[in-house]
Amino acid sequence: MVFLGIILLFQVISLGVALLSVRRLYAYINRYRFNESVYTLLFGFVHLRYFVVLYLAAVALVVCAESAFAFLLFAS
Amino acid sequence: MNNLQNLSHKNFKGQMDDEFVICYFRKHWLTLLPTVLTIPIIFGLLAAGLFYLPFVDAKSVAAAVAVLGGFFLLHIVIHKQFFKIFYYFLHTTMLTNHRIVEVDRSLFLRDSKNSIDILNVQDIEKNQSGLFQNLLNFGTLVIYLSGSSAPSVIDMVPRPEYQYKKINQAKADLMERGRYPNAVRAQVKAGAGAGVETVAMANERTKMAG
Repeated sequence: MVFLGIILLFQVISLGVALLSVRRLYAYINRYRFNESVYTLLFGFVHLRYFVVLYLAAVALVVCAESAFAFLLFAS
Repeated sequence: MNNLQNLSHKNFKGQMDDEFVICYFRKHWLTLLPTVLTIPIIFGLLAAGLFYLPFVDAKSVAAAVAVLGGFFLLHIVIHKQFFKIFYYFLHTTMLTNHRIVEVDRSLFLRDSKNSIDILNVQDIEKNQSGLFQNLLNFGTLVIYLSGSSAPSVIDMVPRPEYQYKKINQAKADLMERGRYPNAVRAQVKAGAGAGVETVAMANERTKMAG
């Protein structure tokens, strides 16, 4: 149960960090805006928002997968 | 690029009212390639780890600690890799009508700025050597400053020829507009420059005579 609690704590912190990071990122890029479509896209087509979505999805996926396995392992 | 100038708000912190961004660039995408490639590897390891997780003995404290450590490490690595990607996007170098500004900013730990007045730029060197640099079109810009010993080096510059031309053009435009540093004006007033006269000094002398 202790391990389960620690894992949940990790996940809450991780989600918090992810949300705070995205919030800070958007606060900055909305304040100091560039026309990203000119020529600085990564590989010519990758927008920053794609990475933001991927980041949130990655963190969410890890949290879900860990939670499921943590419950299977430690809750019983 | 002209629509950049039409934006009502600023492009970076500390931008002056009469200053506009002519062009800007980030490091070449090659700098980010290892980070981007690492992400699928992390997910591969995660999948492999989760596959073997049911075989872990949950009653063993050592195994539980190892699982805990693995989970913790996974979170750290994911955040770190994405922070590197965000840093790539936030770290920009801008050429404005007054200066070259390097905004070195990350999400949490870094917020630095380095600017070079265009009128202090004495010479610019563009280095693009080797197969990869020429094939993928990136290189290094070395900016020599007047009265300074150490040149400013900007590496992994994408399309260096374009940036090189733009900096030279911005400098020529600025000199044409007649904005000279006080040092040049003082030199002319003091009657200096008898030996070697710069274009800026000659222009300033003509302007003062007129």
